[in-house]
Amino acid sequence: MESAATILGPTRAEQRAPFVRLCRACGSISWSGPMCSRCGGALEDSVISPAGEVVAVTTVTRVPDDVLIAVPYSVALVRLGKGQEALCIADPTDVLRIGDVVALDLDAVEQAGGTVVFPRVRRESGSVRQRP
Amino acid sequence: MTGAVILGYGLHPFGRFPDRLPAVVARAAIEAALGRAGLSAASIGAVFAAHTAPGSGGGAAVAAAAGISGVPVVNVDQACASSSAAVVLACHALEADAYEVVLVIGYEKMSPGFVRLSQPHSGDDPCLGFDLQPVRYALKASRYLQAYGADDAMLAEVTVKSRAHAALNPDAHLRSPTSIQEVLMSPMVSTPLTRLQCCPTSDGAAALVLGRYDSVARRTHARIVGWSLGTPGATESQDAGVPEKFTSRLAREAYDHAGIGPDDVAVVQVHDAFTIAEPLRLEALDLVPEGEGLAWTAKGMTSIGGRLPTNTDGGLLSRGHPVGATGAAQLIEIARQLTGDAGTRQIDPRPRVGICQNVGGGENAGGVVTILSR
Repeated sequence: MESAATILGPTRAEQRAPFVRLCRACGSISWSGPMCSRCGGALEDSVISPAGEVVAVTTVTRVPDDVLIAVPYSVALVRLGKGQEALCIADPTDVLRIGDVVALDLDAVEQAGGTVVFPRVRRESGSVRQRP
Repeated sequence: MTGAVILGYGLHPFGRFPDRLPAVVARAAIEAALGRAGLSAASIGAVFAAHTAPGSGGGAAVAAAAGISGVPVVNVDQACASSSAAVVLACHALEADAYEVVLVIGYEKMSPGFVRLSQPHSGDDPCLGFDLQPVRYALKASRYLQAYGADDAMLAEVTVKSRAHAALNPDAHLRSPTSIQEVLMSPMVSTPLTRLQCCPTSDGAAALVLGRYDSVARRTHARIVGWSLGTPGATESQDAGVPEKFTSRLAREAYDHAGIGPDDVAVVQVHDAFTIAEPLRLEALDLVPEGEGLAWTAKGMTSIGGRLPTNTDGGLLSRGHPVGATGAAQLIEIARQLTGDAGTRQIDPRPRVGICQNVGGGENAGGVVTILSR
């Protein structure tokens, strides 16, 4: 069953969404600037895949005072198409588990002021494992 | 000839020392190291000072507090891997015959709480909730447990073992024994990692006096015979990388440099900032088969007296983690084990080869794998 990975904040996400870009060189997602913040490579126009499979997940219950998001929140590593992986923040009540398929809606970020954020994506060799 | 000889070493105990200045903490370690080496401050040709706070460029002041001045002082900030990176730089300087004797001093005064990753330098927002060390390691833990069929209690065993080792180390931050139940019942930080599965931030210092490999002391002292210092490549640093490709690569390079293989290693220091890090890194060092790290700990194989004694001083989880001092402290513990100076936690028979793995900023600031021999 497909579920949406929903961000609980922060309020600044809508300002960052237009700058979400995939690096052509290393596969990272960059938030700002004209080049990849990790390797300096050129950036694609957008993230390629809107959905993927959860490969790691944790629910965070303690954070420093200056973190904008309220606890508890979940962080999931999602394997996207074409071998990319993205971190996203999810509502802990969704109870994501490894193997779940989740939808990552970038349009929602722009329209609703932050539904999903992608701070990083990895491009890996090999094919994406398919769920039965 | 490659490498350097550890002529002397010294520690300021790890823990909370709110009333002591960084220079006071560092000076204690430096003086202990010089005393063990039987050398004076005047014999130091250069200083490599590892620290991440407070402020920058503090190495010269710290060296001066110990009576060392007028020589080159290089400050090294590689996050949690700072002092092991400083050791590598020192070895290069000795190999180049630039100096005969150098000092590496790692020191730190830290506040309780979270250690930040280095993303602010690359533009990522530090306040979004991703950049917390427990989160990254918790993701690795969730992936590891799922992939290899391990459970929370096996993770907790790492802390229990760590505390048992630290109880034998008078310089350790946390020396009280604990139990699996106590570890699992401590406050949750980021599932599945509870508070007692996270290392403390500590105050402390560790100093090494290093000499050229051709020193006569090489016959009786521990030697640094191989290393690899690096940063992760684009496909090596993964947010929840299991297994850890970056550390595996550093290990291969260090083994090649030393001309020593994993089968030769008899004592280990790994960067166990969180419980999950120990099995991951033992496996990345090719010392334990993939997916069996936690099982080895549960069977006592990573304990003193076991097949692969690991973090015999308590590691980051219990010895403590004054960021700038941790790498040097790892090397000191291996040197102690190799030279038979580890007291009640001495491995029997005395090992000939040991390995240290140290990483900074999760992985983003880089890492070091160092091999020692006698």
